[in-house]
Amino acid sequence: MNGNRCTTSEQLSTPRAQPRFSVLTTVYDTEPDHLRACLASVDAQTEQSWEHIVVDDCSQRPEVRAVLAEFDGQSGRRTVIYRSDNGGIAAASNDALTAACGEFVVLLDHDDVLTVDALAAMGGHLRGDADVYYSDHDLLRPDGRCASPMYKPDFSLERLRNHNYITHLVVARRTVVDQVGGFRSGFDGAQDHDLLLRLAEVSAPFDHVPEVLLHWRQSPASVASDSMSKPEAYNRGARAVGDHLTRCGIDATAEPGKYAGIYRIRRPVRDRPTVSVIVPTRGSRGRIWGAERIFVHDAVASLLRVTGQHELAGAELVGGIDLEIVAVIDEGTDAVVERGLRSIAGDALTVVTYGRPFNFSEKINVGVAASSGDYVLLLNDDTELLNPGSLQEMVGLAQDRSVGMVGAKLLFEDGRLQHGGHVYHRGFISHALLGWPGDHPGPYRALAVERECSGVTAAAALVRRDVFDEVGGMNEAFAVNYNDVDFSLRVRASGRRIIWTPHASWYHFEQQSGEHPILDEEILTVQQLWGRDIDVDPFYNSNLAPGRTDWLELPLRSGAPPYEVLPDGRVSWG
Amino acid sequence: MMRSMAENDVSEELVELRSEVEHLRALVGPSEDDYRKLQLDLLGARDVAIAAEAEAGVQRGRNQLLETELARAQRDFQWFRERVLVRAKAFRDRSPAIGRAAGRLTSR
Repeated sequence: MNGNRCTTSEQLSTPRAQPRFSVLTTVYDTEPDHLRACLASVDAQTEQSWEHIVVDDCSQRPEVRAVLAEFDGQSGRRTVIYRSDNGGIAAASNDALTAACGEFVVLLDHDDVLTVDALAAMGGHLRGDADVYYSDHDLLRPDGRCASPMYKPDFSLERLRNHNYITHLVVARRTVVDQVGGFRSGFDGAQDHDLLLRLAEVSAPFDHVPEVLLHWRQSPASVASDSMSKPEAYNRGARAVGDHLTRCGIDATAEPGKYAGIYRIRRPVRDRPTVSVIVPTRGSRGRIWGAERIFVHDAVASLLRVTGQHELAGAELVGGIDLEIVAVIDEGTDAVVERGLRSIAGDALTVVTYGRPFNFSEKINVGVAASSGDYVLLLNDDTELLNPGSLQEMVGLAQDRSVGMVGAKLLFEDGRLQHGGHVYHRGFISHALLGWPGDHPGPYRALAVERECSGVTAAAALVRRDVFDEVGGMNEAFAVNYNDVDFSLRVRASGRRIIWTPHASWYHFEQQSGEHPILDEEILTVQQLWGRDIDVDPFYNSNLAPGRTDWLELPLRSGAPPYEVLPDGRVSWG
Repeated sequence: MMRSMAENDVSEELVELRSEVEHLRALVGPSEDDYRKLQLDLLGARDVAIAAEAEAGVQRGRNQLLETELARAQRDFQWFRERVLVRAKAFRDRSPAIGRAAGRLTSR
């Protein structure tokens, strides 16, 4: 391999100006037709200012060299480098990077296909401040049809830590890629994810181009079609995430998660914080799972049950968190409610009596004012803790000063999803994937990863005390509904992230403790206050159908359902 | 001698107390057992209720997934209808001769 940079001008017959884009492709024993399609897609670009650096990592198949020779010289903008030994994808990618001359590098796998306007579309989005750009993509099936578009959110750092949702197509400023040292050896299979994490450390946020600009080929050996075909890749990915967290100064570990390609990050709780649980209640009762209950009793008892004790003084959970229970009880509530709470929570309980007409926001503000914790957990009384480690998970995330609020996975009593984060899309406000099976990973693994959201419900939400005070608490103009929407948007307006986590979970027996229909004036108020913020959700996608929150595409973008190749080679359409 | 008498008193009292405890246990014991059994029954019933609710939830969740798939199919058909069928009809209406020819072809 010739280690000199900018060999392009030496190899082309006609010297030319620095290209805007350097498309980098590493090749190893690619299926000839797939490689041909990849190279042809680059040649077909409507954008003119590009070069293509192809590095053959010592392919064994002679047809590969034949295809490379076929395309070498066709466009006058392609450099083919033949490595004398197989160094792996990271080494080959670095060779391509070394030979590149363009202002931006474009990462293109050897069997993927660009849309003809991919580079032009990217070029139209290039600005002075962003250094990294990524687009949406879809899957290229064996029959040549495109299906299953992946419509991605705007830059989501936490989501990127949990899995490489960005994948393709990535365009990055050459100087920044050099700054982070290019591709790291020892991370083959996860080299792109590792690079993206290192780029995020120096140059976030990335810019998202909400168009499908690349067709990601499904083949048995590629991760696209069989996510378990490269298990080692995911172990390396976990290492990449762990290294990234360490470089960011985050005390956390990463390991392969429940689903292939998903990483489970564990963050120990520091400094034994106090969490004040603010529970507004009027002592509502109901029948859940065949048994009568006073909702607030079970809500509080389930929080304290993790220690196996029901009567505690200075309640403490395993994991180094001190609890303070602040119950905001309506005046005139049956005395048995408070008596029961005292027997459950003992000295950890503070009772605030609320004597005004129902106003959820005011009750929360009053409860927080009476609390003393470093964090406040806003909790509906019609809930029951499901995952014992929920508070530790939420506090672990909220310890990051860039995080303002953390929401949890909430399930209906029948196990379906009640809350997977808010979506504000074209004026429609709702919970993501409402009513889906509670154990479903969701489209694009949305329910399996910690991810940024536009907002989260206050039925179970953790906020750092300083953030709550800084944004001025809950807006009492929203007495019943949309108070959490307004609060979420104010937290985001303060420059902080809102994270939803699937690792903290409660049952939420919604509407069991009172009917609160949405009023027209509430809708009008939230539209007047937040207009564009509830029209364009950066963590959803403009290509998705309005009026829904289930990632449904606009018409005829779906193609056929994704396929899978069965072990005997047959294709199943699912 | 006096010490021996005191020891005898204590021993007798202990025997009486033990006898009383046995008597009380004979009275209360079955109720304690019943109460424990009731608690276990209650927990078991709760688990059964949760499982039954969860089964219903699985079906409802599947319905929600199917609703998304149905919406996808309906949208695709609507698009097809607007872009292809309606245009084809408009073309046929503008060109009656072609429309008649097409009709003869399709009627064979």
